[in-house]
Amino acid sequence: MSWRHERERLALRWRLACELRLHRQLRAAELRAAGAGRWQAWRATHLEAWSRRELAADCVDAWFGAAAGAPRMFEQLRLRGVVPLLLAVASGLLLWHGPEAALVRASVWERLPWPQARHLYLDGLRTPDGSLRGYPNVEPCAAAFRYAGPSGRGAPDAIAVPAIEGTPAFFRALGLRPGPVPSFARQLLRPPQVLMPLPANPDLSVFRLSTFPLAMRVPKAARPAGAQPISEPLGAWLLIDLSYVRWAWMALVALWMALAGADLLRTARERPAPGASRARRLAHALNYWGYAVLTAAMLGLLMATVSGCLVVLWPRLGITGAVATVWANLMAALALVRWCRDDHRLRCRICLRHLRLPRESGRCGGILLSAPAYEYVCVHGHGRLLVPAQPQQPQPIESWSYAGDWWSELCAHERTA
Amino acid sequence: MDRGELLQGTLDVLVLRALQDERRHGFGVQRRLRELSGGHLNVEEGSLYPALYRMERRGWITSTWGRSENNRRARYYRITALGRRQLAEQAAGWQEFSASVNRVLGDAT
Repeated sequence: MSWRHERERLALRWRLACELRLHRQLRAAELRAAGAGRWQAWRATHLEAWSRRELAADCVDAWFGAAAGAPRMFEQLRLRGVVPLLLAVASGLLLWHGPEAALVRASVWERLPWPQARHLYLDGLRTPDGSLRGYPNVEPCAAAFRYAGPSGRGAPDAIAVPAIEGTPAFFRALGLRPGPVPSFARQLLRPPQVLMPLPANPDLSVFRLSTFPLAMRVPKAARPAGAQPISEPLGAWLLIDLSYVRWAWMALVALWMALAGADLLRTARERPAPGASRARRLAHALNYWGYAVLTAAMLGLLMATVSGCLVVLWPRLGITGAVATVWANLMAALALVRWCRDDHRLRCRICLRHLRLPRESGRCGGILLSAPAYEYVCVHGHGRLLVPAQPQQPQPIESWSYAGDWWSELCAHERTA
Repeated sequence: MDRGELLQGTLDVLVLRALQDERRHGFGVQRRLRELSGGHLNVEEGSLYPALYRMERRGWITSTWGRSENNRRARYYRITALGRRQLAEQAAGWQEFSASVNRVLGDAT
């Protein structure tokens, strides 16, 4: 495997997807021209269609040749060390540098300051004409705030905490006549839910506070002390603790490492089969599980980035949106774990290609001696995988058998025949 | 040319023949083969596309992006000079092979 091959492989898959889409559209159009109904034509087309994944694997093999087409990422010893090292360095650079990566850094590694009581954000104001302005109307005014330092000017009482001072733009954003500059401090906003109006200045009063905004776009000058930037060019600040993404990511990687450890232990204890020595099988198991951990780590990083970008691109999430976001993230994490597991379990232990040609074996009446199962094979002859239809614990769920030398002997026989 | 190579190369020679007169996309190749065989030969996509990719890799055909008849993005395949030589060789080999089989089976009916 090389990076050039990997790039070409992706390009080939994309190209094949375009070709198959056109192929199926034209086939459906041909059937419709022959008199079939719309849905009948689509159904017939899909019944004729091959599995896109298997077809892509065949095309990649046809392009590179069967030996070079396999995604054997850690097959060579030097790649086995270099690839994880490169990934670690790249991840480190991504996490610590670059304005957009600050989001990942903030959500994955660092403690986020919001929401904390010492920071200020408004949820509602009462304007001089007596009308109430709720959070969606007030939130744009955040852009008109200015950080006033530890001792705010014009605060209603002596304060020694961070305060936010409204600029004249604050009134413009509210659509009010410019008046005395309002200033808000922690003392003013201390109760989590203020029911009674509190004076901010002679013209404005606070009637409600929000304790759970997700993010705000505020100018750098209005930065609260200790706040973490999401994107300085955008002026976005993260107001919610996304550490659950970090924990989900770490749990995903830990799960794979636990599975890998169990499998490696089992491989080390097994008696070497005629087809593969113990050292060779351990190398293959390392390769196989290294690929799984790498996939899980990359997907976890992707999930953290996507969830953070969602906050940046959709900053006015209320409490409903926040709960929906957390729920969607959890569901996405579960789906990723499921996909990782399903994708990985049906790969060849040697060449990491997807196994194919499932065949039913066993009998429903023979649970003990010949339990029903599905047998998959590697079409390149590396081995076969038996997946019980009804997993029995504590036995391993799947059992992999090396093809051993008989396959090469058979191929050699065919070549000489 | 031995028997195994001849049988495995049958699809290749058919695809080359379908591309002999003009450039076609994958579905066009399939449709042309159906026409040429009188509807008897339907090459499935699972065999067709790997064969196209393999032949392009060998330099027998080339491909470019274009627009299909329904104005969609399509990959068009065109036979090369090397492909024409290959077609001539494989067609001759096939004629020889089928004539041999016909000679053997001639007395059977």
